[in-house]
Amino acid sequence: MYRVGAMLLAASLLIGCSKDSAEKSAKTLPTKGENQAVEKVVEKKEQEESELTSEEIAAAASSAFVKLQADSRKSEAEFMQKVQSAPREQQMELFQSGGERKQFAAKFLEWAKKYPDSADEFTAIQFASEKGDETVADEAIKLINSKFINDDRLLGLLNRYGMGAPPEQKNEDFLQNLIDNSTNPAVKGSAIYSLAKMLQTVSEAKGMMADQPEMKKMLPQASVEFIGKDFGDLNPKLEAMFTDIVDNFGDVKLGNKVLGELAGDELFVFKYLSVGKVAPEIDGVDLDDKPFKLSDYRGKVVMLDFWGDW
Amino acid sequence: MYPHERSLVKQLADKPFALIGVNSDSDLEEIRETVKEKKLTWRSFQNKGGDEPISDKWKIQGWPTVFILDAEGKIRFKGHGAADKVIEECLAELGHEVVIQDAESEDPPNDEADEADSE
Repeated sequence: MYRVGAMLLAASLLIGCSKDSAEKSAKTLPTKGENQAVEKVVEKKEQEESELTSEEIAAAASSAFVKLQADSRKSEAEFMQKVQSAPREQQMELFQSGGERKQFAAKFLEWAKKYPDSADEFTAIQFASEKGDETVADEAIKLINSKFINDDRLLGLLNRYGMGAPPEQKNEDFLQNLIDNSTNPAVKGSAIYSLAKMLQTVSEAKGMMADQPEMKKMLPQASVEFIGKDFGDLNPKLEAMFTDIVDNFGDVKLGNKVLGELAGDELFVFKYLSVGKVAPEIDGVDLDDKPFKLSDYRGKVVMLDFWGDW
Repeated sequence: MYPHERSLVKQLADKPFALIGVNSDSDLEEIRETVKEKKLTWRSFQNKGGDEPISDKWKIQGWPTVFILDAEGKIRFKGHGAADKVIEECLAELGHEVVIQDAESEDPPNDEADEADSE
């Protein structure tokens, strides 16, 4: 049972890194026109770069991006195939190795720096920030912080953190910066929600790690360090964050829900379903359809077990 | 899972303790069979009932999830892990000193149904 819990947690920590946003926003292949533009660019490059018109640069940027994205997608598909066909016990480790994502992240960042303000700049930087090694990711985050903190496209990234960003110091810093400095309420609200979910994971993981030290081996070192930090009593902080969301960012969408509903559920748990609170009544029927109530057992210690025979 | 629960129920049979399930299976007939086969003696609510499933009202995010309630109905533990220590604490408050043994160290109760669970 412990092991299952640890795996679930580890899996939820990995969700943040397992979906490829850059790959989701699929682009069509370069058109003939674009290809001609590239050829023209290459020709001209030999003469002098400054002679390129802005349209030509944009076409070259776009075509280089499309190629990079196609290569990256192909590499990712091959990698996932390899993971799936590996023996079960090696899959996790292989998956965590990440294939060529780091190399592609570096290429996307390089592209973004070469063609600043291109249409796909954000997508490229986002990929670099999520998949890059530390240097690449840090540089990408700096670019996001300097250019995109009010950009609606950040919501895509924050949405994928709906379960909470992977608990790491740099993710906390990133979210906190958005909370402090973004003037886009959707970005700000989503960042608060994401940070709250992340701190909730920290709170749960602290307990699990104390019970099962072997869990540390399953998590990235940065997460182990972050979870080990002293956060004081997280519950009042979390309650305040969820209250802030309900009061000020309730209409912001996350997936097919709004933050007000999600944070409202969390507050319900704080008020009625956390340790120290009197459990809500259950008035239902047993497996033979006979009615009974949870409060029938008042006076006894009750283990209430949500189970299923799967 | 079942061996641990069965063992708890057995060890605490003469104590003020009750194990109550909330069962999320969709096929009622099937789960009645399982209960019979695996000798699950405790009572379970059907999750689906009333205006919303109990697990929705209780905001359950993963299965199994366990709550320990003390004699006053207060939540003392909530989680996926072992709660034996908390059960001991709550019973001690009622004047019952118990040390719960691990299910693994107990002899499995008699039949092949148990071997099926341990897989």
